Amino acid sequence: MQLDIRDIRIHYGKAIAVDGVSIRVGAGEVVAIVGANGSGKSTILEAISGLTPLSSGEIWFGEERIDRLPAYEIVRRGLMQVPEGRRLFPYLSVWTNMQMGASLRKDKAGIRKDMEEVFEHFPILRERRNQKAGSLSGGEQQMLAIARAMVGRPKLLCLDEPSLGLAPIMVNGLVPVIKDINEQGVGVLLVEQNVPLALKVADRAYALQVGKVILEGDAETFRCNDVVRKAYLGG
Amino acid sequence: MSGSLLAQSAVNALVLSSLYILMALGFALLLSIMGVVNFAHAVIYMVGGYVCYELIVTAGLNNWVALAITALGLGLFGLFLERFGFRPFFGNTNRIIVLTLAVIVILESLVNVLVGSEVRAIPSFWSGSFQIKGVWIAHERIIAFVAAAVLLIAVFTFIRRSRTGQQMLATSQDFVGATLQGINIYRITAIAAFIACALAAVAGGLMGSLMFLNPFAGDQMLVRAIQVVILAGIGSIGGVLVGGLILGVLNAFLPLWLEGSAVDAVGVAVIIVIMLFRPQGLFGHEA
Amino acid sequence: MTKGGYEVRKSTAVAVLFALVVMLALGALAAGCGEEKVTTTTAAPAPTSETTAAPPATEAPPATEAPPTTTPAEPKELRIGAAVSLTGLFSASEQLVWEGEQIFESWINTKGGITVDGQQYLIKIIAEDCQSTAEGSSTAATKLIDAGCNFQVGPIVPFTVIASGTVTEPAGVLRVVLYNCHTPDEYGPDTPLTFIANDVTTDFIQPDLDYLKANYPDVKKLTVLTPDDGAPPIFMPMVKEMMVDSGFELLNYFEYDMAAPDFTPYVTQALATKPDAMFFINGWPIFMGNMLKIARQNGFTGPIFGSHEDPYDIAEIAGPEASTDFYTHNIQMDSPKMTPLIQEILALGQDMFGKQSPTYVWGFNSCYCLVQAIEHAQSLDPKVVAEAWENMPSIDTVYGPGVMGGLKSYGIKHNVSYATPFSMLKDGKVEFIDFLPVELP
Repeated sequence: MQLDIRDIRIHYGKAIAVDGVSIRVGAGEVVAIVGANGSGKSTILEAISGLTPLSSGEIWFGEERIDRLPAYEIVRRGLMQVPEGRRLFPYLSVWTNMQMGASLRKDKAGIRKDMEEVFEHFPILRERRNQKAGSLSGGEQQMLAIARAMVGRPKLLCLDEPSLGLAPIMVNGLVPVIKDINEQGVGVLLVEQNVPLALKVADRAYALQVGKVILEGDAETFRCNDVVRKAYLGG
Repeated sequence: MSGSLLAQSAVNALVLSSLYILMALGFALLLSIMGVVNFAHAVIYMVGGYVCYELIVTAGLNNWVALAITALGLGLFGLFLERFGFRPFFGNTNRIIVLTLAVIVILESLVNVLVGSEVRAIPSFWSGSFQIKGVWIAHERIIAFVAAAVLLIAVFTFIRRSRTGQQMLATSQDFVGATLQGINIYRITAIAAFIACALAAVAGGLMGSLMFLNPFAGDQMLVRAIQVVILAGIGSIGGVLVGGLILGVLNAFLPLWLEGSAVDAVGVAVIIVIMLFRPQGLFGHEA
Repeated sequence: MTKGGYEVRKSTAVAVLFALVVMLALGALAAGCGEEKVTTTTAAPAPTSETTAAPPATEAPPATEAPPTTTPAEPKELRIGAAVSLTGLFSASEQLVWEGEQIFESWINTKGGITVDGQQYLIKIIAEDCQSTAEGSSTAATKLIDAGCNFQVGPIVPFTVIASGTVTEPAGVLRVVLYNCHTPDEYGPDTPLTFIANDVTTDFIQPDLDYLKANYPDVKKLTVLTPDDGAPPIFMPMVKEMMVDSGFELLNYFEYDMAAPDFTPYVTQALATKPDAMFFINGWPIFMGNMLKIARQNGFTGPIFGSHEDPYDIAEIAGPEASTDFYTHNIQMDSPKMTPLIQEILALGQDMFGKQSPTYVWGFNSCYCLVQAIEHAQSLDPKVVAEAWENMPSIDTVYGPGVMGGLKSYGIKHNVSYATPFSMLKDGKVEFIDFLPVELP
């Protein structure tokens, strides 16, 4: 098991945001967390990345417990996140933004090679590599955020709402991107409100409601589930 | 108004600007990277002057060696301040403000009690002066300008060209984004604090030789550093160069037409007018 | 979400608290050291030849706490307030003034204090910080009154003097200010309880002009640099008149901001008027020393006159190369021509504070004249003392014999006037010239 979230609880002040959630992601697996706004999806990702402390429970990555490590140490272990809102460096160039993804790597030649590879996936970024990240369109920024993480060569990539703010045509473009990433042996934990998208790429999925897992299973289980169908798949 | 008086003031403006920029750059670094409004910044400038004095006069060291040791020593103090002061209270603006005010009180009182009644100036880095076309230029002013300029070029090259410098810029633009790239932000904030305090100490040493030492000299310098940063625009590190130049020019030229403390009032008025047209500062939110 | 997930952890919080405690302790330790240095040396017997049968200096209980059965021989405590800027822009020199006042306290108590109406009083001088501001000065005056000081010495700079006077005069407190820049609110008929025990702004001008005439016959054109403390518009017409009457031309005068980041703009403007000699009227040694250095760096070789500011401190700031042909109404500390009392004060300063300063003499003198007036009046009522002081036919100063003057100049005869010491800086060294007579009508 690559990522093992064991019965975690997270509080914001007195309010509970995540209440006893356990999620597992196997090596090379694509797992989706779906749920409405405020169901606690993003909070879980923040906890995985070390941005939000747990009230109880444990998070293990490989053989190591990571829930008390600082964020950059978690990245060092190969767990990267494309966060909600993308969090690009708006006044740095596209090129430099991508370099930042490789902050922990020392192999200059390798980084260069990987950047070329990523440019193959996102040719528009190559064109704009000297432009400031803040001047890109929303879709381009999303590409850059994913590209930046790819250059870091993660073992597991967490994607927080990659479809948010994208035109429908761009959303469909995400599917091959995520599949490509996965084919390189990278595990993916995808948090999405767009359930059809999530189910298109995910091997397994978890549905969250007010901080609790209400459903867990493969894509087929979800498509057949009445509650999910009514709530997310348009009946 | 004679041409040589204007030329003289222009030289003077360059010297003042370079020292203001040394001061304000560190303040801007900590502000944009850690979000820390380090009110204690100018006290470090003041302490830098006294430490440099002691190393030169009491310990008998060469001026430049003393200045380098001062920069290193207060840079280390910056590391201490960052590790045990800013880092634990990260993101808690109120506590950090109280903390920096406490540092001011402690250091000012300490220096005042130890050497407050000693009237002192750091011995000149290079005494004497020379004349070009009717304009007198003191060697020590040229030296201060060159030293400040070399340091500034070094720091800017480091920030713009080195990987760590780029990571500093990234951290200043999106802190959480930077941590999620695996950038060790503790290392970045520590380096920023070191650079900030070392630069302030150098400014203190150079200014203490051009002017004089005073345990409360930091109070005025803090106001000027804040003025430069406001002019530059919060978040802009490059803008500090322009902000410092503007303030240096104001302080060097305004006394030619204005008497006494009216200079400060008009200087602030000019800044307010600039803010009316560019509320975000001249280079706000640009790196 | 905490920013970056770096919530305050217990261990780090403890570390921070520890660091703060260490810093505070260091600060307190340093403060303690300073205090200790003062008190222990104050308590030490002063090594003067006149210490026969003198009571210990600081062991006297406060008058208010003395038991009612006190025998007449038991000395009481007379509190004198010292309003000094211990912090802020003026603190460097004013701390020296305060040290001079502490030297006086030790000196007078070693001699047995003073006697008023058969009762022996030991002097206790209490300092309050004027913070180099007007608000600080009025607060300091109030605090000193609260502390039971009906007599105060200080402050010095015009706006601090005016602020303190708004408190002391209505309260009926007698005040000896240490300087005067001629603004009417500082000192005059409206401040009947304010005295000055030393030479001030305009007293120095005529002796300087006479000296210039005698020693620099080619000097005709003069330029003045002076702080913008509100006083120049008032004293500059008088200064100009003296200069013109003595056959000089005043080219211009420039007011500088005492908090200026750099005095170069002011000095270069003054030099642009092409003067033969310059006058730095008023201001502190830190400013004058810096302006002297800038003037010399900018090729000015003429003589410069610097009121009464401490020549040693000026030389420290200006550096040895620039410290030449600079004149000031102050002392040369190691000159045999100094009065025995000046030599005694400097020796005491060495014992108590490990150093000597001409400013000690300045601070000492105000207290010295004040207690003479109190003893002369044989009263502790400030109004009675004021009236008696005004009419004293002569009064001793640390510089030699003095007389009361100022009625014509200020409309109030509250100035102690004496032959003023005159020294010069030559090649970085202080050289005493002479005591010059000062006439204060």
